[in-house]
Amino acid sequence: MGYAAARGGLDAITAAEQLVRTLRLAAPSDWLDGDQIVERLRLAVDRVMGEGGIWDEQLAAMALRQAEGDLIEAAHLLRSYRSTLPRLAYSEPVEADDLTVLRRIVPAFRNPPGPQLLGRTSDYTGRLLELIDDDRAREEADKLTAARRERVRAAAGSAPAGTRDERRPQRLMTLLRDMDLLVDRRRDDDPEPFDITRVPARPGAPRSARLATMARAETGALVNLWYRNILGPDGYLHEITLGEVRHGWLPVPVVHPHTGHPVEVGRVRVTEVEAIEDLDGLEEDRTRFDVGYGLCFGHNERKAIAMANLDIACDRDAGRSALEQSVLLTTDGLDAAGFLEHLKLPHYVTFRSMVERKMAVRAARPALQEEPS
Amino acid sequence: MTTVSHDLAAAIVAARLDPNESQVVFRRLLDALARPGRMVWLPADVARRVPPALVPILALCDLEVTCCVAGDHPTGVDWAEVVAVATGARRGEAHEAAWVVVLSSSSPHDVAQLRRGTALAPEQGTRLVHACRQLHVGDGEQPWSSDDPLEAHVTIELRGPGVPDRRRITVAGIKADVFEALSQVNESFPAGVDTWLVADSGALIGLPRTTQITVTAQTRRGAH
Repeated sequence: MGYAAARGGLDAITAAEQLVRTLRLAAPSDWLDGDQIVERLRLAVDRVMGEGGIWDEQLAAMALRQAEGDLIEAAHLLRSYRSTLPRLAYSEPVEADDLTVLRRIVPAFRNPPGPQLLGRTSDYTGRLLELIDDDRAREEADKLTAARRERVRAAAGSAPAGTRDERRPQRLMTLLRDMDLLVDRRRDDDPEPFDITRVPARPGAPRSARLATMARAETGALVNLWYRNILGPDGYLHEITLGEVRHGWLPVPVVHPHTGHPVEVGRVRVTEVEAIEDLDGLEEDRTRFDVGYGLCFGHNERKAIAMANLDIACDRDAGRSALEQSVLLTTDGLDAAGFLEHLKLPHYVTFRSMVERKMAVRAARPALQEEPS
Repeated sequence: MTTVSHDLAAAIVAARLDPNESQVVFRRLLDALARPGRMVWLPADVARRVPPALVPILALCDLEVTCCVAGDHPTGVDWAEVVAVATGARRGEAHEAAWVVVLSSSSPHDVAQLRRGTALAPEQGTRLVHACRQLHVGDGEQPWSSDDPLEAHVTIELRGPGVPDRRRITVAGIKADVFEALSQVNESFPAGVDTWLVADSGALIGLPRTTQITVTAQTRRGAH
């Protein structure tokens, strides 16, 4: 496979780059600074960090600004930058239960162990476009800030904002396990996780490769692949109920080079989902449920839910169909968008050869040209 | 805790490159490989801080990579230790390392034992950085300035991708048989070894595994 290299138009290419740069940097409105993007477009920042595969809000904000809001392009910039950074250390594994939740819901169970903590969500909000002008928005912001401060002051001294148990709640899965309602797929060994940043994952890969691929995948691609299984032609999923949807902070521990003990060097925000699947296959244990797992950087519930669903779907499918191939090979935003975008580069030579093939077919079968259409 | 000598500590500090410096070095190394036989310069402020031949590994290696720093440097500093501390890279023997830096001289045997990768895994081939005294693009007639006119040198002719027709370079400080060994190592493309020659001045020439090398002339010290 070969493509004509883009050459000969160097001046045009340079001018096009310059045009993008000029119009981006010299737009007449105010310059967007990093904090503005992080605070006001936080979900875009989170998504770009997840797909870029690096936790750094400011870098993600700069990538978003440079990409003029194009999320896949921003993830591309971030992943390129990431590839130039040295790996300084390997973090130690953390328990998922070390997650300090900002939000935690259990759609499957009214009274799960621990609280239903709705947190920052618009799940129950009508989708009405707010046509509010800047002055009124600022006025409202001041009022809301004052009211929030008042609530915090009133609450201080009475009940704590959240006890340790409430911020690190038990899982519904534990309860289901106690009720003997779960298939036990836990393993005793502890294999090294597959590193998709070093080795491309191919079907037959361990589960860690699928999870890592999905954690870095493009959100839209995962949602689409999930939906194909619900309404589309695939149908690997039966009836999923969400057990846990969590958003919160996870510590990042690293072994101290001198003491040898793990120390917390930072923390990252993640979204975590456990999806309970109703097993209905002939060879499956139909008296029990199974659970799929999803976890990704930032606040991105859509992605983590699709991921957890596809995790259990891949497990149930067990390589019978092309699902695992779809997950591993077609969900990466950079892969897909990069291949698509390259179609815009000159293909003069390849297309010329295709034209010549058509001509050769005609020349070999002159009668074809004379047949009435 | 081990105690670290002052020289070593200073060298370790000097050897840490920030991401921007690493990116510039990476770009220069790519340029050098894309145009074999053309002179490229390492960023001067980096090449001043450490022996220039170490700059590529300081820019590109981290704890995932096995490095071998062979030979001594007149500074007397244990540069292998400096690289290990500054980058976190694992130390390995020349025959197993992903990156090999030769700070002084090498023999054909040294080059022949380098990892070449395979046709299916050409990326497993070693990246070799070989220090030399001086580099000159051309065939070596009066290549040097007056500082060491009698330095022994070798002129090699390069052909292959990235070389319009053919190009000659002259190298002081690496023996002709080393280039002959390198030529043999790179006989089974795509397996092979990518090489950069780095002069004391920070000048750099890339010899990717695709480049065919022929020794055309050599002189010995004092032969003029």
